[in-house]
Amino acid sequence: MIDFKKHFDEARDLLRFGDFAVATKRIIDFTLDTEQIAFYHKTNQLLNWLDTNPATEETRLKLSALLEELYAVLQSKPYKERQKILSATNVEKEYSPAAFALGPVNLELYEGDIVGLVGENGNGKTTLLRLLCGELFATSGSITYNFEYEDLFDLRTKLVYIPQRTDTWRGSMYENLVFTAASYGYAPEENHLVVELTIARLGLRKFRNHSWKSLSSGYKMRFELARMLLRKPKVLLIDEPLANLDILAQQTVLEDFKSIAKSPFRPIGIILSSQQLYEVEKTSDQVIFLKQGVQKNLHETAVTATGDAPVVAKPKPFVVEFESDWAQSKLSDALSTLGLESLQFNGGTYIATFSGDVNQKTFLQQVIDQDIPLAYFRNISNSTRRFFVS
Amino acid sequence: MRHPLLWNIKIVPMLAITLIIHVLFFLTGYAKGSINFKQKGWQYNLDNDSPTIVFFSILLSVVVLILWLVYYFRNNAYKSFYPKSNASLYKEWLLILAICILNCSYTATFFYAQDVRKTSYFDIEESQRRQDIISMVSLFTDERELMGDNGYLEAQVIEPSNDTIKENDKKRSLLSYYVHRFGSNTYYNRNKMPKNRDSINNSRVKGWLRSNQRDSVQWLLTEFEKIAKSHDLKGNITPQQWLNMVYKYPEFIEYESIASTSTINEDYYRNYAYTTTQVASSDYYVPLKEMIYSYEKIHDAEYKPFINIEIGLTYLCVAFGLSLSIFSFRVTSGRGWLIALVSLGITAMITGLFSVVTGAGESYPIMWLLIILGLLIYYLAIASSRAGKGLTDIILNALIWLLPWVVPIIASVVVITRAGHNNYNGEFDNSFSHWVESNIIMILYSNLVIILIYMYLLTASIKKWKGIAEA
Repeated sequence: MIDFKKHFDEARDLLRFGDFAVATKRIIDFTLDTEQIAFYHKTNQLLNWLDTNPATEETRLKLSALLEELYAVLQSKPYKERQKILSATNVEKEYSPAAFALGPVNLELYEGDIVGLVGENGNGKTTLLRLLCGELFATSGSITYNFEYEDLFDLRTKLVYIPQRTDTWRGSMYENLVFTAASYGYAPEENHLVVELTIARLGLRKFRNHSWKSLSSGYKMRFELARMLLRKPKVLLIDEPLANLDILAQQTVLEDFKSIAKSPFRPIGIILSSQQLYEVEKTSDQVIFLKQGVQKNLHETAVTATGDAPVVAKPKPFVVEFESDWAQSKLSDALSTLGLESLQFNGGTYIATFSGDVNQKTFLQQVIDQDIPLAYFRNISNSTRRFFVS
Repeated sequence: MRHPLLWNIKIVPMLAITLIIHVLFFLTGYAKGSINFKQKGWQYNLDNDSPTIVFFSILLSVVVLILWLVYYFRNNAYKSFYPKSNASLYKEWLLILAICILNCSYTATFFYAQDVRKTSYFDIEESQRRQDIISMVSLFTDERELMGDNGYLEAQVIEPSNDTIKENDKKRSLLSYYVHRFGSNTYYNRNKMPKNRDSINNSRVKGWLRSNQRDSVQWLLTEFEKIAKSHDLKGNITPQQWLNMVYKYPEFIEYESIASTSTINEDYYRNYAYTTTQVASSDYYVPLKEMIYSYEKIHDAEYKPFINIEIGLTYLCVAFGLSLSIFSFRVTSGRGWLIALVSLGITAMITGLFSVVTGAGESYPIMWLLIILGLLIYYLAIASSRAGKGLTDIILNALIWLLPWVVPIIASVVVITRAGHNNYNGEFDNSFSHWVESNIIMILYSNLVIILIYMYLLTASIKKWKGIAEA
């Protein structure tokens, strides 16, 4: 109940602060949660009204009214229990004895969780995604899916994998989505309604009649997400979704992932790979760093033999990334009194690792005391950024 | 919306389009099937429609096929891993097959409509009665046919000279000739002994002559004149005059020569009659040639219609082959489809060369049987394991195309290697191979049913195969 009310309170706050666009997205999410055609109709009518009317106080009133109606219906709807949906145990993949090998990889995915995969190019991110979606088979280890399926084909209908380069599709976007909805059993009377809601949810209303070649790569990816939403998968595996997106679009898409994954009534597990470390880390519940196919988790966890909830990780050293005009030797001298363990120059910035009880506050105090010119700094003690240099 | 497969495959518009085209071809065929009862023989500008129709039919089929495939291939629920039942792929193939059958059979509709038109002039009894009369009457004109010593009808070659014809004719009695045989104007059976009605008509009219039933002959000639009049045709003699000129009992040698038409266009006769040329040999004529030509068309439409069991099999085989080709492309990939095509072509050349070099004719089909068996075993091994797909993308294409050939290949092996070949008397020994050869059409039809059955199992397997990892 708390999560659900929290979502609604967030939506109410969005309306209060005039963020109608995001509030509309939340309302669409709640509408789809109801699974009632009457609400599909109402929300679609409101969306049509919003298309032709500028944002005014009346917009706030209409959105609020619909939001309250949705709240009244959904507050009594039972939640979905958070369940483990996927576990990979010592999974390895070897293409050939001399070639690159991935693994062993261990991971667990729960409904509502987002797992980020990061790492340098060619270190196994796509291979791992393809293993998890069934496109590749593991050389050793096992992947267990904790939901029912008849055969391998049926399994793959429940695992949606969106590659970095998506397939071409023909016809209009709308037509393709209607076909997807029909294939997934949406009744005729709700098919078009749900498709309209999904299109609106992902900001594609103006593009519904566009074909593949007339869409930018960002909108092509949004189309794939729209299709994914209609498919109601157990797991979404998506390769580099933020590539080719501007910074605003990246943040929007990550917010979308979060709200889709953490829906109280229709949660899904998401595993995504990306080069945008900080954005992914903000959104993900766990980040896996792959280097030469070997796994390192951002949040070190230990799963007990009985598969109980993970225990808390050990304290990490303080690692900071910063830019400075000073030379490396001068910086090393200035920071050595703080317990500096290493100072590396990496990609235009310095990475400093400290032992002991050093934290961000003591570091900044040292910078002020030593008058170190600092153009930029970032605490990466809890970021996979530190794995890129270690 | 409830049936995304039907929507995707565009079955409703395709049914509408193909049925409209069939109706158009039917109407065209029906119009073209009308008979000009005054036409004496084959004429290029009137009777040479078949190549044009066939050409346009094929062109239309290809255009419709391409347009349909463009829309059909827009969405592929199977490749996108949308939920599908075990029978879903089978239903999809059946729908493809139905569209292929409809789209490949426009010529059949055209020629069928022609036959329908030709047989619509008279009911079967009336048509047969008229043909009998025309056949019997031919004995009393120069359309009569010559019986050879060996019991077979000979080609009758007459020099284009009135005197010569008269002289040749008068050397033989009417009783040594044969009535015109309907259905004998196709060259392959030109010299075959006539059966059934021709024999009956021949015996009947000669029986009248031998037993001096003049009244019967008079009735015959009178009936002929009535039939001619019904088609606005006439000769320059009355039935009575005609009777007096030809009825020369008991020898029937001193009869007058009666031409079967008023004028002969020598040019177009040379075009069509390889062994018989006839020139107007008498001042007297009756409109028999026109009647024979027209009623031959009706006869052929009744007894040798275009749509028969062999033609039907041909159309179905083409449709089945095309549907399997499209289906295999649909469930695998364009790359696998192309590689399979090229590989099979190369394999065909190698196996062909091998059988030529070894000189063993039956080795060719046996090699192909082994190849099909090998492909099937490989596919089943991969499909039942959880390892990668390997080459099954290519193998599956080849398998879908080759499995329908198993029964025909086995039949051909049986026939090729049969014991007891024809003996000099033309009798076949009563063996299984003889049975196969005699019932090959039934066997091939049964093969189509077998394809329908095993495709149900194969498509269920293909659905599961799709879920196997790529590598």
